[in-house]
Amino acid sequence: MTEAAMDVDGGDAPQRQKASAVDANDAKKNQMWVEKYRPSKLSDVAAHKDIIDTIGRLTSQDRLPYLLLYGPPGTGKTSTILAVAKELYGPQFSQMTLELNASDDRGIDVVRNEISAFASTMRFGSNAGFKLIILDECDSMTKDAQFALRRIIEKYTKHTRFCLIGNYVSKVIPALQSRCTRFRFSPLGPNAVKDRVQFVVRQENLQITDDAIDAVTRLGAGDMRRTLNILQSSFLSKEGDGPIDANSVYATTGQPRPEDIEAIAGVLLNSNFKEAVAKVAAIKQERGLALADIVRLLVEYVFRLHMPQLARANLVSDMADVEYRLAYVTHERLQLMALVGAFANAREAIVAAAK
Amino acid sequence: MTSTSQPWVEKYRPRNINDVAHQEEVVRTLEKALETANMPHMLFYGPPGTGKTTCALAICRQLYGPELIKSRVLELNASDERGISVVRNKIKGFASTAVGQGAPGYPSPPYKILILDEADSMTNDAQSALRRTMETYSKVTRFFILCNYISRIIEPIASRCAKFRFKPLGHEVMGDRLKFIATAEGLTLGEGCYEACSTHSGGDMRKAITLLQSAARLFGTATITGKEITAVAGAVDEDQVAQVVALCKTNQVDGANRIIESILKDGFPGLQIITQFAERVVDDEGVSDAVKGKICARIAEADKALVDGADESLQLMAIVSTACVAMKA
Repeated sequence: MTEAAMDVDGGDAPQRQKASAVDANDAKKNQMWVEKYRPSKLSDVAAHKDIIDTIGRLTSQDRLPYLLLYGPPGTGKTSTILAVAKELYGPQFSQMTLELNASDDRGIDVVRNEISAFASTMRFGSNAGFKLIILDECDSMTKDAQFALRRIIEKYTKHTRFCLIGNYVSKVIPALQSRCTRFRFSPLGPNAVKDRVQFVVRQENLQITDDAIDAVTRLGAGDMRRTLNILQSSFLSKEGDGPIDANSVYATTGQPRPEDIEAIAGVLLNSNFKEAVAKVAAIKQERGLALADIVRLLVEYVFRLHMPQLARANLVSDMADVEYRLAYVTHERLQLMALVGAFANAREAIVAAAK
Repeated sequence: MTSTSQPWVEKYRPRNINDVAHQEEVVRTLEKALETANMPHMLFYGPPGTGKTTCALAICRQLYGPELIKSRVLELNASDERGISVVRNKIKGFASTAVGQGAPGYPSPPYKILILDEADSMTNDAQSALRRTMETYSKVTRFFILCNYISRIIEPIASRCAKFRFKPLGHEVMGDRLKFIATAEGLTLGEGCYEACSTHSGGDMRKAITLLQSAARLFGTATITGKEITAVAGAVDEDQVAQVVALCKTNQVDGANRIIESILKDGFPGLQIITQFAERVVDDEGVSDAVKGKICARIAEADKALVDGADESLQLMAIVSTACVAMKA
């Protein structure tokens, strides 16, 4: 009986292995690009060469201080520290690091029990002298928990390093800030983003025009994660076999193209009130644009126009009001009328100044 | 449930992503996802009735089939509790479990799908607790985040998703679908019906279908025309609005306010009156652009005030008064 059962087991095993190998292959294929191309080495992190060099030097000299990495989303904060941890520990990564983020409960109890337990124990048989505790999204920790951290951080300096990561440095209490070396991750420059995009394009064998790469970079606005997501969704939504072009990138994200903005501005500055409302509404409908996006991009355009300063000041102030109201679930059409009204006033001011 | 008592909105909800009207980019993306079984996290946003929930449910059905969908898909909407504790326990629990065997005959990719409907009503704390969960379990779980207002979704979440805006539906697209439903229900759509449906619904498919069904139910006739649709749409009589504008032009604030008051007493919503008044003023050839600008600026402010919970009749009177003053000059 037992023999038979064992036999069956034995016969099953290779099959199961094969199945899991296929699964792993599938998983790789199904991965989102954001995770697939997350840098695994420090040197792969796209931008902030100075910060990366500094951290790399400190890591290799075994003099890593406490770190506080902060900045807007998608600028490589988590990627950097994960890469550091991988370089430090290699395969021992999971034993030597404790990663806590906002999805974990991080009240004062966790700080008192889990963190302090992890921090206070020594680990033998590892080359690196210290363990690493990564507190991701630490700006959403409660004040109490942050206060409780202060002493723990100091007490275990010998064999533990802390790394705090957050979007807003102002939400981290000053007492913690002063214990860490701060690095600000600013939004990525267009060249760094473009290099990385081109790398992904080569890896994935994508057909894409240069204009489209520019568009992806521009819409990503220095946020690497958003950029890669735009690239992946443009790739998924493209029609037919041709390369991805700038138009399809704009269409996928629902963002107005520069041509659309020019057309809308032309209508607003030249047509009378009734026509302007009808025409802008038609463009909005046809291209599926949101008024808030239009207003935001129109402001840039307005600053490029030649018009009296006072008129521009009033116009921009009115547009800001419209944008503010749109953020609060208001009626698009009524706000569109207000926008047309703002331009009508500006037109009048321009005419008055010309006289 | 018999098919006659079922709301048409549910009865004719598209089962297939190909049937979803007017959202070509999203549909193409999802079709490719069906072929390659690969997709990023998705963020669908746009006005109500444009097909967000329909798309999400249809793709799940097509990916997993009717049986597997029960274990692979979790849908949470605003009616479920979604505070930070739910994110930490329920969502994380669902997201972290591994997936089992696929169903034969369906692509059934090796990940689960978590649909967060009406995500703009989630608290900021709950949203920020989602951030790392979305990344850590991206191998086994994809998130579909559905909302009306993208500005209510925190930036770190938005940056983790491929964003798709659902556009309000145009006249023709809406007409096609309404015609299909009317034929299936044995109705004839008379003159002006499509136009009335699309103006009164403002590109909201659900509202248009509901209007059609209410009109069919209320009048019980086999032919529905634009007039019947307008009657159930709850629009204010155009003549009354025209009267208000005319009184404003001659600076008779009291008279105008009396009419507004009586319209409000008839039970029409303030926003409806404001919208029709605004359209009327914009279309009026006898009013100069500068005056229109002034009135529209006040109307836009009133719109915001109403959202914040201001008193309808006061805001309406303020608009009418502004209009009177502006038109005087």
